Amino acid sequence: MTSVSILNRRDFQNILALLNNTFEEQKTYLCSLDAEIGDGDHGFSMSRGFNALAANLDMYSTLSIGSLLKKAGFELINSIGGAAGAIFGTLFLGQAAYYESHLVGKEELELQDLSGMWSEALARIKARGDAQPGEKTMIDALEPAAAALSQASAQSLPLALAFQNACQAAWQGAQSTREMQGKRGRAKFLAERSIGHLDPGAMSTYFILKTISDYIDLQAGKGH
Amino acid sequence: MAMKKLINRPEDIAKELINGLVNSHPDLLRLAENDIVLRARPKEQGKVWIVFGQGIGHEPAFDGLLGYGLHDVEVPGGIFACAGAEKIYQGIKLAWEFSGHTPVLELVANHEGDVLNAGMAVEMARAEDIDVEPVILYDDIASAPKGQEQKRRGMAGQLFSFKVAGAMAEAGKPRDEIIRRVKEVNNSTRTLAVALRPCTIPTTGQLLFHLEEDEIIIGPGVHDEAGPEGPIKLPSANAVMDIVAERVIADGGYSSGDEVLVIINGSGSTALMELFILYNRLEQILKSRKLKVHRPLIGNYVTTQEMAGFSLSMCTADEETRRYWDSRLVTPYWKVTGD
Repeated sequence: MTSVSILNRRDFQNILALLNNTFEEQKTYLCSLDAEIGDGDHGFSMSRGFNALAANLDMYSTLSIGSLLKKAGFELINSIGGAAGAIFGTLFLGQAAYYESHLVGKEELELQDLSGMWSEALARIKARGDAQPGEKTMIDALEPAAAALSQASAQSLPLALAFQNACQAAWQGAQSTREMQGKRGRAKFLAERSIGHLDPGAMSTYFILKTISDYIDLQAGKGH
Repeated sequence: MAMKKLINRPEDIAKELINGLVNSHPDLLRLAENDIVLRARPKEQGKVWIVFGQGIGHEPAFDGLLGYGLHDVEVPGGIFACAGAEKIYQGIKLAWEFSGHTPVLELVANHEGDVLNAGMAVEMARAEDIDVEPVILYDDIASAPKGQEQKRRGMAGQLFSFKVAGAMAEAGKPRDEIIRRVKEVNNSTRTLAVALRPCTIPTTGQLLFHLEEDEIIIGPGVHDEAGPEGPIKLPSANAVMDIVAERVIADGGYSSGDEVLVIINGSGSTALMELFILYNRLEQILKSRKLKVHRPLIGNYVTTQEMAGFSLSMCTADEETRRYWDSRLVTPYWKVTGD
C-alpha cells in the first residue's frame, strides 16, 4: 500500500462530493435518531445541505482550498438552516479560516495542517454555541476526533492512520452520547428522557470523518 | 411518508407558502430577494427597523404578522428551522439600507438554531459597519426552572415584546429605549403550553409524541416537542386552566393589584370555542387574585401546524406598556384599531 501524505484541492472536492452520497445513504437513519430527541428531520436537513453543495461543486473548481471550504460552509448554513446549518457550516468555515490565516497559497496539505484546521473548527463551534463536551452534541464526537488528529500529528503518523484514529474516536464519542442527558437544542427540553438515545449530530460528525477516512484509505490503496 | 396534509412536495413548502401569503396580501406585504418578506409600504427612514428570522410552519406567526406596528423584515427559514445566517444578514442589511442607516433591532426567539444563526448574521453585518443589536426573547416556563429564565425557549409570549417594540419603533423611539423596555417586558413574560394532540411534521410525516385519547401533556414546545413531563389524564377545561394559570402566575410572581397582559394562543386545531371557555375560567382566577387583565389576545397566532392545545402567556404592564399594547397595528393576521 502506498502511503498518502497530503490532500490537495481535488481531494477536498472529491470528499465534498462523497459526503453527498454519505448523507443520502444515512438520511433515514439520522432522521430516526432525531425523531427520538429532536424534530426528526436531521437526516433530511444534512442531505439537503450536502446535495446543494454537490450541485455547485463544478463552479468551485478553480478556488483555493480555503475558498472552497468557505463556500462549502456557507452553502451548508444556507441550505441546512437551523442549528445544524450553523454548526456544520462552521465546521467548514473554521477550517477555511485556519487555512486563510496559516496556509494561504498552500496546495498540498499535510497532517499537521489538517489537524490545525480541525482544531480551529472545533474551537469555533464551541465558541459559537458556548458549548462544551458532555452536553450530548456533535462536540462529543468532534473533540475526540480533533484530539486524535493532533496526537497523530505530534507522533508523525501516516495520514491514513491519523484519520482512522480520528474516525474511531468520533465513533466512540458519538456512542458516548447515548448515556448523556441533552443540554442543548431540543433534546434539552426532554431532560432525563433524552438519556438512552444517540445524538444525531454526533453521528453525522462520525459519518463525515468516516467518509474522509475511507477516501484516504482508498487513495492509499490506489497509489495516490 | 404518508401524511394527510395539503402540500405538494415537502421541499416546495417554504416557497409556496411565502408566495401564497405575500401574493394574497399585496396591500401589506412584498417579497424582496431570497424570499425575504417586507412591508408593502415601508416604515419611514430614520425610525428603527425591526428584523426577525425564524422557521416557518407557525403561521400566522411571524410572516403573517409583519406590518405597521410590528416588524419590518421577516426572514423565513425552513419548516421549524431558522433561516441560515447569511439570509438573516441579508435581512439586516435590507433594514439598514431602507431605513437610511438607522440602528437596526434584531429580535431573536430563544431556540438553538435561531440564536446561532442570528449571532453569525449580526457578526457579518457588523463587519460591514451595520449598526445592529439583537435581543433574545424567552418565556416558556416548562423549558428551564425559575432562576434560569435566559435558558427558556421563545413561545407565544414573544408577541408582547414584538408588539411593544413595534409600537415604540413606529413612535420614533430610539433603539436603546426600545431595547430597555422590550427586555423589561420579556423579563416579566411567562408562557406555559398544553397539548391534546401532536402535529405531523410536514417535512418528515412524523409525529413526535403519542397521546391516548384521554391524555394531555403540559409543557410542549412550539415545534411539537413533547417536553419533560409525561402525559396526564385530561381533566375539564377549568381544571386544565387552573393548573396552567397557577404555574404561570407563581413563576411570574404576579401579585395582587398588578395589571397584566394575557394571551391565550391556540396551537393550530383548537376551536376558538375552547379558547373562550379557557378564558372564562382564567378571568375568574385573575379576579380572585386581584390581577387586572388588560385587553387579552385570544386566537391562533403562534401555531404548531395542526397540534391541538393552547398556551397561556402573561406579563405585567405599566401604563406605558399598556399604551403600546393598545396602539394601532396593521398586519395580515393581527390588527388593532388603536382606538
